[in-house]
Formats: sequence, C-alpha cells, structure tokens
Amino acid sequence: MEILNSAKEILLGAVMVVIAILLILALIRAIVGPRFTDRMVAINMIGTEVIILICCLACMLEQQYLVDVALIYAMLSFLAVVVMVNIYLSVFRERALRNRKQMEVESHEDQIEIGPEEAAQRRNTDAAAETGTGPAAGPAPSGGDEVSPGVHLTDKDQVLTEIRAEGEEEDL
Amino acid sequence: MAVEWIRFLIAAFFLVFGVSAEVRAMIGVYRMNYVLNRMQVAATGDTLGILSILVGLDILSGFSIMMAKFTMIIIFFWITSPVSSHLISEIEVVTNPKADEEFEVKKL
Repeated sequence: MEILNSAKEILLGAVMVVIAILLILALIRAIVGPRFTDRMVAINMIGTEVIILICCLACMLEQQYLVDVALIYAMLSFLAVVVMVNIYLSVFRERALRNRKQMEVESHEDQIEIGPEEAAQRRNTDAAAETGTGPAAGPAPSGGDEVSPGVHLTDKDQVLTEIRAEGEEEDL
Repeated sequence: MAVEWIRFLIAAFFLVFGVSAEVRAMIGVYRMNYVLNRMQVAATGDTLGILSILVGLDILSGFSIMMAKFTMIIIFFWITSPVSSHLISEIEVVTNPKADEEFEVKKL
C-alpha cells in the first residue's frame, strides 16, 4: 500500500512537472507569436494546462474543492476568449467602416456633380451602413457583381470581402 | 491489492497518453507556420489530451464525487473548446492582411 501511494505521488508529480514545462513553452509562444491570434491560441492552451495542473493537484492532495476551482477556471478562460474576440472584431469593423467613409469622401470630391436624387440615395446608404439596418441595405448582390459603396454591412460575406481588401493596407 | 495495482496501471497509461498528446500539441504549435494550422494542432491537445488525463485521474480517484466533477469538466470543455477554436479562426480569417497567401479565400 505504501509503495502504491508513493508510486501514485511520483506519477502525478511527473505529470505536473511536464505540464508546467509545457505551460512555460506556451507562455513563450504567447510572447513571441507574430500575430495576436497566435497569442490567443497560446492563452487557450495555457488555460487547458492550468486546468490539468489543478486537477492533478486535487488528486494528489485528495482535496475535492480544488476541482471546483478547475471547473470555474475552465468557464473563465472560455469567457475570456469570447470577450476578446468580440471586442477586437467590433473595433476592427468600426475602423474599416471609418476608412471606407473617408475613401468615399475623397472619391466624391473628385467626381463631377451628382444630381440631388443620387446624393439623397447615397446619404441613405451611408446612414443605413452606420445603423446596419434599413431599406437601403438591400439584398446582397449575386456573385460576380461589383460591390456598391455604402454597403450591406448586414451581409457577413460582404463584410469579409471588404474588410480583407482594406486590411491589406493596415498591418495588424 | 492486485486490483489496486491494475487500476493504478490503467490510470498511468491514460495519464501518460494524455501528457504525450499535450506534448505533441505543443510541438505542433511551434512547428506549424500559420495561425490556423497552430490552432488546429492546439485543439487536439485541448480535446484528446485533457480527456485522457482526466479519465486517468477519474480512475485514480475511484468512485467518488471527484469522479463526477472530473467528468463534468470533460463535458464542459468538450462543449466550449470548439466554440473558442471557431471564434479564433473566424477572427484570423477576417483580420489577416495576408489571407490570400496563407489560405484559400472564398470568392464571392
């Protein structure tokens, strides 16, 4: 029985040491990773490894409350990823919309004068693009058509096309 | 007594397999070039690694409340880990300026 207990402690200790080394490597990836998505992947991995560490410790010390801590940590790490992604995506889209409006203003200055009906229509499309709803945000164009300005931000694929085109200018 | 040892050996097998899955995931994260590849490899560690380690700990702790809690962690993690991976890959596809070089972009 003594041998079994010491074997169990040695096994769990070895597992914990290896997981701790992997955790440091994941932290290095989070620091080095060239893009911020690399860092998010690394943080996700760190969360997983921390949960494994806490569960191994709970088994070694035979304390049940530590497993509750691990469960709550799992929820928190998932929530952290969701919140970070949503915040960054909304900031990115807002920036893309601002850049698009600036480009439109610059291109309108170069153009010949347009009639009042067309000017009102463009104002409508801009307003609809800001709010994301409204009759001006009409049906998405079929494949192969040009994307019109002041655009259908409700359509996710349209957003991806335009944001990718603008993202080439910005290096994140 | 023999039953205890058999239980210990089965748990040790699961623990070693789980740790090896995590090590492989970490090697993959360092070896792969692009974020989407790294994310896929990290997801294998998140699913297979944690399942195997927690099953090993289940067996080691025996029929107790801890077994139920470990099982709950596995279920929760298997539900939420694909959601995290999907969100990270979505933000990568949307915000990557070199999208055409790194992966195939859907033409609309």
